[in-house]
Amino acid sequence: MVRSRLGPTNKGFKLMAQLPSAAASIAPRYDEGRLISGTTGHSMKIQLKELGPAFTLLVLCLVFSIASSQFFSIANAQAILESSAIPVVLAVGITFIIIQGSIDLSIEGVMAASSMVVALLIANSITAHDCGWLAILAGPAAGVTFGLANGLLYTYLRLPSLIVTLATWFIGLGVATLLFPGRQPEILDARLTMLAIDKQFGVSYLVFIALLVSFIGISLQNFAQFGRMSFAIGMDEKTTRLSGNSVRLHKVLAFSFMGLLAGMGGAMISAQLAVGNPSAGQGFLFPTISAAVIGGTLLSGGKGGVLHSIIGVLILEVLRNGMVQLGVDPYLRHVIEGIIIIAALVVGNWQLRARTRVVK
Amino acid sequence: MKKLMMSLVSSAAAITLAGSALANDVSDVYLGVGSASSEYWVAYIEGAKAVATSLGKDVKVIPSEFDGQKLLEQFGAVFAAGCEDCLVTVDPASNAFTKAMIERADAAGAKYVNLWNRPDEIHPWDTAPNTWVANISFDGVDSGYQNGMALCNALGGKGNIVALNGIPDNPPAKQRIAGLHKALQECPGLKLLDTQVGNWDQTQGQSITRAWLAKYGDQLNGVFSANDGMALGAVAALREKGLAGKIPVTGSDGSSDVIKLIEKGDMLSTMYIDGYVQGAYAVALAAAAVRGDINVDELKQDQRDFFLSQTLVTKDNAASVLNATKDASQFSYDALKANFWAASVGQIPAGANK
Repeated sequence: MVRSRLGPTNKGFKLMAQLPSAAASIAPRYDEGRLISGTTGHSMKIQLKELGPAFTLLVLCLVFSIASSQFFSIANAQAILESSAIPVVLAVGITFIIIQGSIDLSIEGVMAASSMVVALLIANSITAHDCGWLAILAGPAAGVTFGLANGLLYTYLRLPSLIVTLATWFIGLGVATLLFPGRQPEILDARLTMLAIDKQFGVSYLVFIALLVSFIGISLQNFAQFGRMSFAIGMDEKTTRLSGNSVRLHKVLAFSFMGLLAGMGGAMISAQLAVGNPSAGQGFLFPTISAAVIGGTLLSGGKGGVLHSIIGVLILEVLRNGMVQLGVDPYLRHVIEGIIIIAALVVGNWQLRARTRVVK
Repeated sequence: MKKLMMSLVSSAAAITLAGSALANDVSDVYLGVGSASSEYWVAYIEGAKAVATSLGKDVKVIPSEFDGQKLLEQFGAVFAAGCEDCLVTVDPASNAFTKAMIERADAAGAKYVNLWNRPDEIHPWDTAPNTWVANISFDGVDSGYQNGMALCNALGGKGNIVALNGIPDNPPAKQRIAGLHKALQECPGLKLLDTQVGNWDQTQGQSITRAWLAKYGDQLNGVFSANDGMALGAVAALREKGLAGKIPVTGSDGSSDVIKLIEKGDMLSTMYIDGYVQGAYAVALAAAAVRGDINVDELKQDQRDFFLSQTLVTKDNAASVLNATKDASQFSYDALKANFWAASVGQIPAGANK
C-alpha cells in the first residue's frame, strides 16, 4: 500500500516536503487525483529571469523594423501569424513530451498519414468518398491512434522514445505512401479549404485554431494534474513513481495529445494546400523541437512551458520572415539563421542553466 | 612485366566482353527511385513496368526518399546477393553517390542506367563503361528558360518577379535558375527582385511568398518557382490574398494538380517531364545491353548521355497533356527496340551538371 503511505493525505504531504528531490516540490499534493484543480499560486507567476526568449523576440522585431520599412506592418504581422499557426499547434504538443524528458520524432510521419486520410475521405478528385466534417475529424483521429501507439510502445516495452517514435515516423510515411493514389488528391470540399482562405480580423481560421490550442495547452499545463505531473516526471521520474503517481499514464497521455495535435496539423496543412500530400509534414519536425528549445524548454526535461515554446516558434518565424524582407542572399540566410538561433539560445536561456542540470 | 599484366587484363576484358555479347536473358529489374509517393516517380515506375512486363519480368522498386546513403545501403543488400545480368536504373539522389552506385553495380555484374544526378566529370564511356549503359535526364536550363520567357510574355515584357529556388547544391535547381537568368537577359524589362531557397517544399514556398507579398505588395507581378511543389505553395499564399490568377506563377515537373491550376487560370505554366517515357527507355536500354541488342562499345556519346524531350504546358495545351493516357502495348521492349533514342533531344552538354 505504497499509495496510501505517500499519497494525497496531509501526512503524505509532509513526508514529501521532506524529500530532498526537486520533484517533491512540484509533484501533485492535496489535489492529487483531480484532473482540473485550483492554481497553486506558484505556477501562474512568470518570473523575470524566464523572460529571456520573449526579450529575444522583442529585439528581433525591433531590429527588423528598423532595417526594413515593410516589416512593421499589419500585412506582415498577418503573414507571420499565418505561418506560425501550424508550428504553434505542434509546439504545444511537443512541450509536454520534452518537459517529461522524452522526444517525439514521429510528427512528420503522422502529419503525412493524416493529410492523406483527410484528403481521401473528403470530397476529392481521386476517390468517391465524401464524408465532410467526419473526414476532417479523421485526421486528428488518425493522429491519436499513432500517438497512443507511441505512448504504449514506449512505456510498456520500455524502449527509448527516440527509437519508438523514429519507427512510427517511418510507419506514418509508409502509410501515407501506401494511401497515395499516384496523383495528389485535390480537395474539393470548401469546408476544409475555407479554414485557410476565409478571414476574420484579417487572419484565417487556422490562426484561431492555433490560439485555441495554445489556450488549452496553457490551461493543461497550469491547472490540470497532467501539466504538473509532466514537470514532475521530467525533474525526477523515480521519485514521482515512488510517490504513487502513475507515470506511465501521463506519458501515454502526453504522446496521445501530441498525436492528436500532429493529426490536426496534417488536416490544417491539407486545408492550406488544398491537396492531400504524402510529404505534408516535411520540414516540421526540427523547427518544432528547436522552437521549444529556443523558447526555453530544456531537452533534458523538467523546465520550460507551452508559452515558452510558442515564443520559440515566433522567434523562428520572425527570423525567417525578416530575412526574406531584407532580401538576404539565400545562400547566406541559413548561416545567419543558425548563428542567430545559437545567439538566441545563449541570451535567452542562460539563467535556466542551473548548476545541476546536464546540458545535452 | 607490365606488358604481361596489360595483356592479361585485356584478355580478361575480352572474355567478359565476349560473355556479355552472348544473348543473355534479363534476370531481375531494380528501380532506385526518389520516392514512391510522387506523381512523377509513380509514372516512372509504370513506364519501367511496361517494358519489364513485355520481357516477362516484374520490377522491384527501392525508394531512397532522396537520401543517397539509404539508397546505397539498400542496393548494397541487392548487390551482395549477386546481380548477374540484372537491370538497375537509379536516381542516386545527389551527385555524391553516383560513382559509388556505379562501382557497386559493376562489381555485381549488373547493367546500370543513371538518372538525373551525374557529376559533370564522369560519363558512361569513361567510368565502368561495360556496366554503366547510359545517363538519362531532362534539360533544366531549358525548363527555366521557357518558363521565364512565359512570364516575360504574360507580363508584356516588363514587370517585377521573384524566384523560388530548390536545394541550392542540386543540379536541376541550379539549371532551372540559370535558365531563368538566360530568359531575363533576353527580356530586359523583367526585373528579378529576390531569389529565396524553398528547398523544393510546398510549405516553405508558401511562407516565403507570404513574406514577399507583405514586402512588395502591388509591385510584385510574377512568381518563378523551380518546381511544382513550391509553385503550389506560392499559389496557396496568393489565394489567401485573393490574388490567385492575377499574379502569374510558373513551375516545373508538370504534376497533374499544377496542370489543373493552369487549365483553371490560377497558374501560368510548367514544364512537363514524362516520367513514364523515361522509365520505359531506361529499362529498355539496360535490357538491350544485357540481351546484346546493343553493343555499348559501339554507341556514340550522345547515345549514352542524353536529355529527353519535355513540353511546356500553358493554358493552350493543358487539357491535352492532362488527358493523354499511355498505352502500355506501345511501350513493349520490341516496340522500343526500333529506336532506343526516339525521345532523346541530344547529348547533355559539358558543364550542365556543375
